[in-house]
Amino acid sequence: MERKIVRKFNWFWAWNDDREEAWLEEMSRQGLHLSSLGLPGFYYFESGEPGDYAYRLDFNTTHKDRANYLALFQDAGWEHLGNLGGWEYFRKQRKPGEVMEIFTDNESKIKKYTRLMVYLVIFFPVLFILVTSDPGEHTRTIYQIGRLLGALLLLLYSVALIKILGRISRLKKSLALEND
Amino acid sequence: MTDRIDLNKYLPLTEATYYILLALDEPLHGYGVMQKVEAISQGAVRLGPGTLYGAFQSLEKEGLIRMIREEERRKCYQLTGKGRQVLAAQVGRLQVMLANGQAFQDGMGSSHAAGRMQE
Repeated sequence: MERKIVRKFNWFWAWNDDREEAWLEEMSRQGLHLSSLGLPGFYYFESGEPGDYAYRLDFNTTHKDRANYLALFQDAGWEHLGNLGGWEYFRKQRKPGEVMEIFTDNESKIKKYTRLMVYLVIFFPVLFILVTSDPGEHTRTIYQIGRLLGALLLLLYSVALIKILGRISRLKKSLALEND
Repeated sequence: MTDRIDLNKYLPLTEATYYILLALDEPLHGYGVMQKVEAISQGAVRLGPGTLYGAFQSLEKEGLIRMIREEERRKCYQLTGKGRQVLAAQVGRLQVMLANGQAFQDGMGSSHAAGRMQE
């Protein structure tokens, strides 16, 4: 079978990483296996035999210990496919008896979304100052466009934070149920 | 007595953390911990690499484990003295829990069993 690279575009928000995983799994079932990541939204697939793979995303922005981090995933049978904006992409073929999750308890899932939230919160004050600052003499069009973009980003960040907080609280609720 | 209060803030350990600490009685790297935990828990606790990596980071930060050496990009960890104390305190709690559970199964009052444990 001839192997070729297929480029596809699909957009997933940061709070829908599970949908992205499900989509990548569906692509593999159709014989398109993720080979690398391009600009945000662009995915490169290698065509081949359909296969049953699990795709999992972690959010990790610590770089100093990265080799050790990746070695641990590799030892556990996870193939590292790439990193995009802090998101690490992993894949593993489904086999009976294998652990098919990278996070095996709720606490560590909560920590993953907390890392993501902290990362997003860092940009919040910058955008806020940009949007709310007194324009003074700066009434030039470029400045106004910048403010408008800043306002849109601020809105998007707010939605992202609310969605991620919702996710964390749902995980915490199921944790409370487990402990009851 | 102050030591005891200090240890209590780490308790109760989650099942995963409990087994990770037990496994680190000897120096092990991540994959070794995964295999040992699965074996000694008779398959009940299976750790994903994301969960284990996060646990290593927080346990090291809390001073319950420390890195012994690094071989081929793989860090080996082992329990610290404090880690052993926390583990012992958790085992003490579990013994009370187990005694109460056994008393319940034997049809005894739970307060009775707890009282006996304290003696």
